[in-house]
Amino acid sequence: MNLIRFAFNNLYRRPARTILTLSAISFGIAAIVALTAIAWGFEASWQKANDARGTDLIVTRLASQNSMPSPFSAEKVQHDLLMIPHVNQAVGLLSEMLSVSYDSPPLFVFGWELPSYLWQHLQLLEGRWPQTRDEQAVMIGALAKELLHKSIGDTIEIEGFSYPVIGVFQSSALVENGAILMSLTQMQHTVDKEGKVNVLNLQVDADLAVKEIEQIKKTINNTFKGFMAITSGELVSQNAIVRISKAMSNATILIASLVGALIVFNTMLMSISERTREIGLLLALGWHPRTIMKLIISESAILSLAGGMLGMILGIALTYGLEHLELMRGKIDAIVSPAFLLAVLGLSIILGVLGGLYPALKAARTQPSHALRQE
Amino acid sequence: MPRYFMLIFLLMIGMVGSAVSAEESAQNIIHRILQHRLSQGFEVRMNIEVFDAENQRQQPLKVALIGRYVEQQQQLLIRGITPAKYTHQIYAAEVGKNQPPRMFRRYGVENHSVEPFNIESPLFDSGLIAYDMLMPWWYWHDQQLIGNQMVNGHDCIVIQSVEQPLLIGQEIHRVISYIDRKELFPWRIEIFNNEQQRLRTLEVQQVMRLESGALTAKALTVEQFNHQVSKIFIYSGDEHYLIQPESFSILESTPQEVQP
Repeated sequence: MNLIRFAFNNLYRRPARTILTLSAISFGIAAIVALTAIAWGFEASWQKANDARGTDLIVTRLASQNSMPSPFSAEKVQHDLLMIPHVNQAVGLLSEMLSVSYDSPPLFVFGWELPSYLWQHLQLLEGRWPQTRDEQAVMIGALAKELLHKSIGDTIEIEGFSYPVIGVFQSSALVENGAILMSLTQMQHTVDKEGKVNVLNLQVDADLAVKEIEQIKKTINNTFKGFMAITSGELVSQNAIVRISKAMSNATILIASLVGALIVFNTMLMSISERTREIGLLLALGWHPRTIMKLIISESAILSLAGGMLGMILGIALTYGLEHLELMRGKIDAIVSPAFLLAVLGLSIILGVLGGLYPALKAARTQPSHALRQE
Repeated sequence: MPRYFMLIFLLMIGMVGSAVSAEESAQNIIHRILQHRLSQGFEVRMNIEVFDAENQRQQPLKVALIGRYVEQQQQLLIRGITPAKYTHQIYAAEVGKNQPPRMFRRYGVENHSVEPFNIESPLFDSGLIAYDMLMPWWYWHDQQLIGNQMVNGHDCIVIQSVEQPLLIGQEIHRVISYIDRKELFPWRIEIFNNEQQRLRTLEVQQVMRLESGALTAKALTVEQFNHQVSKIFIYSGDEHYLIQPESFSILESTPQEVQP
């Protein structure tokens, strides 16, 4: 009989244990898939938002571990930054995550300098753009419109101030689609941070090479005490929420891998313990110990491969479900890449082989004479 | 030009410094705590959820604080953000080393009238109390180290502050603070009246680090003697808030005087 078929039959003979082991592995793999997809998606969404704005360098203070960079007075820094050769624009941005009604989750509220290049990547879906920096009005992203159930002409209360909605916009970045947008001046007034920004977005000469942008970055980091210039990718990777979500995903991978390997180990150990006579008989019939090892490892690999595949499907379904959950809408833009799924599948096979290694060795060392005497 | 110190908001002060040594006196520890509280200006926004004795949740509220803690004096400006009934309520409080605590309330949208307000009274029907935020008990004469205790896994020294005699209208007589030995951060504060009845307990649940590296509270609870529990969550802040000359003008006004 074919060894793989024999392994399948062995698993099929104990359906309850096989199903329980499969479930445990698949839940672990599902958690890995979902959390990693969410963490990557979150990072990518922020990155997309920064890239879409056309920002080359971001100047901020990142010393605190708040989820947002610390606010700072923009005026002098902005002026000094514009003195650096090749720096064309230094545009202020102030953002906060605020709850705007009791029955909806907190949303990002952005204040962007008006007029500035930051607004240019947005597409106007309804209404109009704010005309002056002092206009007391807000724009909402397409997703925020849905979440808040607001339309043009409705008012939104932000930190005790009422603002009419004058427009709805669409962005390529989910973070912006789920946000409320106003002029920087209005935002500063709303959150009592007059003259302050979280970040300054720099645009340099279009024909500048990466090396030259790096040089500007170095100049800023050496000259502006207490500030740092970073690329949008670096800003995102240093964001506290991104760091936490990635740490959670890494911790899940570690824990789920360990638990998965132990489950396979335990299952296979129990299995060979129950089948001592059978293994002894096979050895007495002339099976080579190496073949016994192959059989046990094949069984554990089949278990973990099937568990991994089920887990992947479950993980994708879980991610999709979370994305469409009312509470999470606009916050998750998960990324499930085929390469990642392949890696997860590879991980589950490795776990299976590792978990089955010791039981396989133990089975191969069985003395047929001892095994056949067992009841 | 005074040195620009870090923000330490509210009572939940963030503190950096060397760990408390075995021989260090209560006065010395308190001196260090007060030094670390110093700030030329900070702003904090908080969300407060109040649960009554039956665990029924009241409508959540948002409050903004502006503060300045200088060498011998601490000032706070407290402003209701939402709901609408609190939006125009503004309070200013001040404590100092050699001065009795004082507090005023500004009310009215049109007239901006000012009246004295009891600094030990709850604000916005919640467990938020200006006295607790300003922690004047660190200026009291009688301070004693009364032991060590673990608070939620943190090794703390316990300091008892007692005030005798009490000022007119003062209810708070004794305060027990559980200070983190390493971070000099108060994880729990228990406040008692003259009859040794516990008025409230403040406990920090979640902290964050400031730019200076100091700890400050991100989430805390205030449990009052009537079992009302207020859950406070800091959702925004500015460690370098620029205090305007008129920021604490309420404290300069005579009660009932109309302010511009």
